[in-house]
Amino acid sequence: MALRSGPMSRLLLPGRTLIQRFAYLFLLLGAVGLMLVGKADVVLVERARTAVIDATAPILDFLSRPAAKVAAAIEDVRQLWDLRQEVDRLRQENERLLRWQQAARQLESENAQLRELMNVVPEPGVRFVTARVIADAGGAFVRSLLVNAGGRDGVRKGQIAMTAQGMVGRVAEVGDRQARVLLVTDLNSRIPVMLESSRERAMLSGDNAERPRLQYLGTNARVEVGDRIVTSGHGGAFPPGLPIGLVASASDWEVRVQPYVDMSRLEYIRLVDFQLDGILLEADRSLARSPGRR
Amino acid sequence: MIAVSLSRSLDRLRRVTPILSCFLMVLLSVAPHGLPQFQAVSPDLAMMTVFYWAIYRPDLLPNWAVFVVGLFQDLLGGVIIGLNVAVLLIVHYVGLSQRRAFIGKPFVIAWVGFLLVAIGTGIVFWVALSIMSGTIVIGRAVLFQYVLTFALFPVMTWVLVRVHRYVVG
Repeated sequence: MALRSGPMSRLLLPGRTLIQRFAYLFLLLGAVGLMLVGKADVVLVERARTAVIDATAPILDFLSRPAAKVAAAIEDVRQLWDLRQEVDRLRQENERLLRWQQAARQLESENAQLRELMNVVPEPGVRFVTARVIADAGGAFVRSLLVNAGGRDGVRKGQIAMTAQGMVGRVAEVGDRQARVLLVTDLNSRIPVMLESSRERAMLSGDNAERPRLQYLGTNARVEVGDRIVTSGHGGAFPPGLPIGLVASASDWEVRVQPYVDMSRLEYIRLVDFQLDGILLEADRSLARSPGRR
Repeated sequence: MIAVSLSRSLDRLRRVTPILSCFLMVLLSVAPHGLPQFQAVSPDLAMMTVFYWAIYRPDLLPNWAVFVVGLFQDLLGGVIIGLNVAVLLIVHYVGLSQRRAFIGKPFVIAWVGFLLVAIGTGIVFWVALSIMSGTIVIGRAVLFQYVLTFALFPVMTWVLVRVHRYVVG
């Protein structure tokens, strides 16, 4: 692959090289300065990010459409291979689910009756927005998504991102037309959870691996592979009982959880407003409440 | 008159193509591709593009433009602000200062050069991120990301050579 060399031999003159080197040094110092500023003034960085992403959201939206199409086509071809098996599996699953549906209906009516008897305070209403994933930013270092719904669609910081299978993450930044969702697998994600069967409390902390870790389990807690993990609702940031995943591996020093949702193939997610703002700071809270402002 | 001004604006467009291509690559690298297991290892397209132009047309990709591209990538990608700026600047500097070693030589030499640059910046990236976040970020995904970036370099070069020949001229 031989290439024509352009008219830039003048760049290699010694004087220019010296100036060039100084320019690099200057720009590199600028980069280091940016890192320090980013560490010190989180709000400023977040504003800048939101502005840039807002400006590029239409382009990202445009780019994500063919990508989704290609992914769907690949998936189609793959599914053709094992269509028959899939039908069988779904038929069985359908049967099982119908039985569950019956059970759920019974429980629902029983629950309603009991609530009425006990005079339980009703949970606040739940609203949600469904949004399309327009970018999965971050690569190997950050687990977050951009979705094409933002402040003007009613998305607020702290809302929970879910699919039908379970929890995906939490809204971390909100722009006008887009929002950033921090996935449960991200390095910065900490979610108070419990084991559904034993009600044992723990903290689900992401470390950018596909399976987040379960930390701060009680010393006598018994964890087994396959245990269901749900949110505990402690701290007031997440409602209790949202499904997150199953215990995938449990050893003496580490317990890892496989989320129900396959984070690599998200296309549409729901951003649910449970009307909770336990983790937001006082300043954020006023922002979160006044719509139309960032 | 019209023809003159048209050719002038076309010429201007040609001259900013390298910079525009860098921005486009940043956008492409965050677009969701939906491939299972590959989300974590999206290749660093901007790094390859910067390296290419630094070698073959550095006059059209000045270092301040690299700074802006890196900043754009950082703001969009959600990693620490300034980290990609530094990484891309290093890539640009190495490409530019060693371009004599690459121009007119077999492609394999540029590829090996890129591998060395990628390894170096990968280490910078990983160390900086581990320091800034206060934990050791696990390295496997990082490694895969760089392996993929390295493997896709010929493909990217193929595309950029076409852009170089037919658009930039």
